[in-house]
Order: sequence, then structure tokens, then C-alpha cells
Amino acid sequence: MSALLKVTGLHVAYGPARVIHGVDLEINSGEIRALLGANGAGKTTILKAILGLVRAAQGAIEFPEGRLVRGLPPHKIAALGIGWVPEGRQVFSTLSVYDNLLMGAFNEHDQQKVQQRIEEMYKLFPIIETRRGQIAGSLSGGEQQMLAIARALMSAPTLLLMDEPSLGLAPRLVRDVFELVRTINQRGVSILMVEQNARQALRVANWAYLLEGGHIVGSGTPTQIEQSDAIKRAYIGRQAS
Amino acid sequence: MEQFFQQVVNGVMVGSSYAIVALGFGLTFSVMHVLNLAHPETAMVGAFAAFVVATLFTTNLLVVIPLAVLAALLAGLLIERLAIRPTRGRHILTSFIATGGLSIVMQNGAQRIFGVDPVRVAVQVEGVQTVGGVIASNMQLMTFGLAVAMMVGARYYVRNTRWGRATRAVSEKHEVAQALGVDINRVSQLTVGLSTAMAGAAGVSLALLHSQATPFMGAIFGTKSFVCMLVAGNRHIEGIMFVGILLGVLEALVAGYISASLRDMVAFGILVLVLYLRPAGIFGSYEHD
Repeated sequence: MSALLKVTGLHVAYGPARVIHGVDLEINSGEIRALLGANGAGKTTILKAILGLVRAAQGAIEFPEGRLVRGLPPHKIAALGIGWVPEGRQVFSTLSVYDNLLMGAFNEHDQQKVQQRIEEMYKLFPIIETRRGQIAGSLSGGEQQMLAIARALMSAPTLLLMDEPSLGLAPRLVRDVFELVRTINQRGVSILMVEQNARQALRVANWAYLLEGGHIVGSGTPTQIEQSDAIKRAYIGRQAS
Repeated sequence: MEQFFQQVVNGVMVGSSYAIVALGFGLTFSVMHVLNLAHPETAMVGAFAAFVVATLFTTNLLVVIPLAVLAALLAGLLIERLAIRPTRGRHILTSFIATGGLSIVMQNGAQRIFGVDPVRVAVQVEGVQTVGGVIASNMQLMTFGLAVAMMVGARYYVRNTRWGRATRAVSEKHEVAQALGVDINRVSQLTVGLSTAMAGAAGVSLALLHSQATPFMGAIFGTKSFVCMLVAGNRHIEGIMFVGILLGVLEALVAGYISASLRDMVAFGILVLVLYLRPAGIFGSYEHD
């Protein structure tokens, strides 16, 4: 069986500057994979390339299971079943919490299913239900992160791309978010997670990639990654090795 | 006091047309981040479409107005395809130049077809209404009703429909909206289509109120509407409507109490002062978050 998502030889450039150099990665159904690396390594760019938000200069992106999606517009890629939790939450701050959830199910035309999913989200995130009529911009950082995750789940994705889900959250909330990652995965959603918090990410991931300067410099199980020098290099720089 | 209320009523009637053109400017700018300088020309298209229909076919307003609005909408969709979509996401000056060029083409095109002199739009609505000594012609009330219907329709679309919600989402975070499944080209078409339909309604209103249309009528009208959008800020469509009507009232009061020749200067002066004191506009802008 082919991988749920397979990225092969991905190159991305912003103008003349090439920022991603021949990245290969994949994720199988039911897995949590982490993409680790320091700030500016290119993690977010890879996610955006998968989503069609930045144009890949070269390479193949296959989702789901072998379908080539490179070059498709973002809304068509989303319709194939990819959800995105962007870095910094990025909830629609002037829309209500309820409208944010509705936006998550934009491609779902069956209103009964939409309402059913909203009820599911209220069960998973009780705090969101209490805030449903509020403007999303008025929520706390932690609540906004919950809303961003709920919004992404509203499309019932098979693959969830999470970009720095723990960024800017209090330590207790960080633990909650990673617990949530496990819960979502147990519901059958595969997750590709970009994180700077390597320790926490490696606790929940089945497999991890290390990214440095736009190159994959290592990959393996969490134990292999923790024991490798590559992780120190990826986070601290070459002098650490 | 009677004169004051009369000027206010006159101002509200004219201001409602500014409001719907300004609303279109604001919608296109806040959603697509494009300054559509050809937007006021779609009002001119609406006015000339009213002239053509009234001259060649019928003066029935139930036919003239919808066809004029439709003509402006089609012109808007053409502008969207030729100058807005290709420049979206680029530097704002790119769209400025592209739509500005198209604006000149449209003005000169209309001049070539209809001539430089105003053409007469021969549609009459007889009668006046008087309340407490304040008079409004039925034509004024009809065009005001059209503007209000457009504003209510636009507000309903943006607040209560699926694509309206998507439009607000795109205006705030277009990448996130796209990744949630929103087709940004469709939002662009719907936004520019709605905006230019409103401009067309304003254009036909002006043509009916003044019984004429000219190739360059969009220019001053567009400038005023653009200033309304800047002064209101692009965060709330209700704010843009309010400032449009306010400009109309200010103009009417200045013309009534001071001098008609100072009308534009005083009204614009006040609006520029407001902009100086509140650069994000009275009701705030997304760009100043």
C-alpha cells in the first residue's frame, strides 16, 4: 500500500532564493510524524507547499495514496482531505467562534453533517461551546489554539498538518495540546506536525524528520532521533556536533 | 429649521449613492487587497446602459434599472478578469496601474461611442412627497430606495451567507481560507461583481436624478466614494455606508448654508481632518491591526 502522503524531491524557492532542497518525506495512514528543526529551517514552507499555498519549484506531492496534487489550487487540495492548523493559530478574529467552525466545514454541503461535527467539536473542546457566540479575536491564546484545531477537524480530514501547535502556550496548555494530538490520532486522523518543541513532539510521534537549512538531515524513530547528533545540529547549529 | 431638514434630506439622497460606490471600493480593497480604480467607471457604464435602454427600448424603470445594474456587473467581471485577478498578491501599485489604465480605456471608450457631451436619459418619475414642509421627489425616493436595497442586500450577503462568510474570512486571512477549501477566484468574482453591481445602481440613480450621463461622471464621484472608504476604514461595511451618507449631508449643508462652490472643499476638508486624526479610519481597518 502506498503512503497517505508522499513528498519526493521537493524544491521550493522564493524568487531567486531556494529555501527547500530536495526534501523527501512520507506519512502512512494512522501515523503521527514530526518535522523538527530550528526556526527558519523551512518547516512551515514544506507544509505550505503541500497545501498548495506556495508553489513548489520541483518535485512530486502525492495525496491521498498516489494522487499527484502539485499544481492544484489550495481549495482543491483541501477538498481531498487535508486539514491545517496554522502557526500562530490564525483564527478569523472578526468572525464568531461558531462562524470559524462553519468555515472549517466549508466544503461540506450536508448541513446535518456540519451540525453533527460542531456537536463533536463541542464535546472535544467544551470551552469552545461556552464561547460559541463570541468573536474569535476575544479568546485567550489557548482557546484560540483549541478553536484552530477544531476548525481544522471540521472538514473531517484524513491528514492534519499542524504547524507549531504548542507555540506561545503556557506549559500546562502545551501538555494538553500534545495530549489532544494523541486523541485526534486515535480517532483515525494521520498527523504531520511541525514543532520546535522536539522533546514533546518526540513523545507523541511514531517517526520524525530533522530539517536543517531546507535539507532533511536525519529521520528515524523518536529514540533514534533523540540519540543522534543530528538533532543537536538541527537545533543548535553545526558547532554542537 | 425647515431648510436644515431639507438639506439633510437632499444630502441623504445623494449620500446613499456615494455610500454604495464606497462600499464596493471597500469590499474589493479589503477582500482582494486591490485598489480598483476602474470601479467608478462601472457607475458610468450603468448610467450609459440606462441611456441606451431608455432610448432604444423602454423607459420602464423595472427594465431600465436591472439592465443597467447587469451591464455594470458584467463590466466589473471583465475588470476582475483583466486587471484584478492577474495583479492579486502583487504590490498594490500593480493593481493601481492596471485598473487605472482600464479606467482610462473605459472613459475614452465611452467618449468614442457616445461623444464628449452629456447624453439625455429621458426617464421621468413624476410627483413629490412633502412631510412637515420637507420635500423629496419621487425620483429621489426611488433612487434612495434602490441604494438602501443594495446596502441591505450587501450586508445580508456578507453576514448571512456561506460565500459572504468566506468573503470575510478571505479578507482577514486569505491563505487560511484557501486551505479550508475556499476558491479565492470565486470570492474575487463575487466580490467585484457585487461591488460593481452596486456602483451600477449608483450610476443609474445619478443618470435618473440628473437626466444625463457623461463619459467622465465616474471620476469625481469615484474620488468622493474612495475618500469615504478611507475615512470609514474597511473593517465595517456599516461604517462605510454611514460615512457615504454623512458626506452627502455635509455637502448639502455647505451648499445650503455657505456656498455651493465651497461644497467639495469643506466636505473633503472635514474628511481629510478625520483621516489625519484617525489614520485607520473612524471604524478601523484590517491593515492597522
